[in-house]
Amino acid sequence: MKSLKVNVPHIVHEIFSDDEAAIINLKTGNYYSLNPTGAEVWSLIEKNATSEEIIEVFSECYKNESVEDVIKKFVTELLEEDLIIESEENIQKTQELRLEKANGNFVEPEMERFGDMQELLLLDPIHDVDDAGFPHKKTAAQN
Amino acid sequence: MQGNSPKLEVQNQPTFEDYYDQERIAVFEMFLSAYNDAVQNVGSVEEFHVQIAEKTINFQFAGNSLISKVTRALKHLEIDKIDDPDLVIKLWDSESTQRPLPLLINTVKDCIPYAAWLKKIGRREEVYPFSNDRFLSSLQWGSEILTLLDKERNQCIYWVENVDKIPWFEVGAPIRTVFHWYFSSTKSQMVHGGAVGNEKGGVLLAGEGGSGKSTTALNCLKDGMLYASDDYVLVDTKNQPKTYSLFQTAKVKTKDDIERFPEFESWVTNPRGVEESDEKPMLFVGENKPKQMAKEIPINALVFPKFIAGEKCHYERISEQKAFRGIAPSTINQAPFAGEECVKMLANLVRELPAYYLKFGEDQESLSQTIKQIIKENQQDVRR
Repeated sequence: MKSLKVNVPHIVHEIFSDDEAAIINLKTGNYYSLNPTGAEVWSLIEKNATSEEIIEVFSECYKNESVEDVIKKFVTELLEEDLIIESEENIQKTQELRLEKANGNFVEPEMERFGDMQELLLLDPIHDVDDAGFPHKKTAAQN
Repeated sequence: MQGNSPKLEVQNQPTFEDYYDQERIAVFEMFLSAYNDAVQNVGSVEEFHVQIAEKTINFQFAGNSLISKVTRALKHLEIDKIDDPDLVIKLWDSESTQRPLPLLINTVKDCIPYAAWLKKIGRREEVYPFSNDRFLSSLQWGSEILTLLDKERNQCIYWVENVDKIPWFEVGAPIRTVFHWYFSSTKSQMVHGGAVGNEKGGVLLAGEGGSGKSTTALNCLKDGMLYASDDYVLVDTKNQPKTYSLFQTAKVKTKDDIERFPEFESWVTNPRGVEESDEKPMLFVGENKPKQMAKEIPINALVFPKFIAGEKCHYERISEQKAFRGIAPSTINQAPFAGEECVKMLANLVRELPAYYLKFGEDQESLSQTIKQIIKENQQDVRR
């Protein structure tokens, strides 16, 4: 079983009091927000849980048949976006793996990606930048 | 290169990175030596001093050609000469001083278009080969303004080929990359946002370009409120959150936008640029309303203006996550090398202060009253 890790230093993240998380990929410029369930998964990944351990923790709190498939799919999505990586081995846990705010109803984890930061960060510096200095997206008339 | 590089002092076999770190010192010295040549060629150093957030900064110009381009937006922060400044910025241009960039640095600069492809220059204008924990370097696209900061000596060098290459918006917000770098080390953060206030406190106006920050700020200025900025401020969260003014400028998107403020129309400093090229109308608030130009404004709330056609002016509380999304990407996007520390500071700011969407349409009469209402409602937060 391979532990999951946040893909530092490119990934910076914050969890807010409304239980939502914000993630910024400094390398690609993508900005993501996670709903409270997604933020719980993220917290477990910060503790280097494996996919199996995350499913186990969720299954203990929620008696819902879809938990395993949904969590697997969500972790795959995080991996595909390069927000997290798999370590070579199962890292020794230093903190207890548990859900902070579980209640009776299982809400599927969701991730929303916002591209506007990426749009600015990934402008082609040769062709999309004019004398205005910092990459400004050209208007149609300028192109 | 001036002399030999100092001998490497490492315990074990030096790595490539050890050698490169050593050579970055040499690059800075090379740049400094060229600045000294420039000073010698023109025969004078012109000085200008400012104070921002209790830090003193000394600008040392080789000759006088760059002075008006760099200092105009900072005039409201000028102080008398000080002997022991916290940061020294040495500025020169090649044309008036007849000192070219050192050959090696110039070669790197000329290769920048290719260097971008080779990932030697970042999307946020970072020049990676000249940067490490101690040195930070950036090259602005288009204008090719090159800056290098030595964080250990708090010394910065600013170079441009010739004064005419300095674009209009750099005159409105000069040296901002250096301000971002230097103040980050003092635990303050340059934020993409404006600030206005009154005797009860103030608000930070944040959000993407074009969202309505300037319109809101100018409406508040028109109504007699204090003005710190409409675009960039320094935010200090060490005690009570506070913004510090960096630039005394204001700019609106188009000529039509300034026509909605007839009392400010004559202040526009670049009418020709607005007419003939795609410059935005820019004005220097401190030159025209010195009493309303604030050096610092405490902040009671974060406000995200949003122009929506036909909308009646009103405000609504938003979540921390939404506020973070409103302020973090556009700030980080414009801050070379900004990373985790900047993100943490912005996250703490949205945790500490209430945040609102300020939605408004064509009728902007009540904008400043709404801002005053938000300030008043959140006075409690300021005092806690």
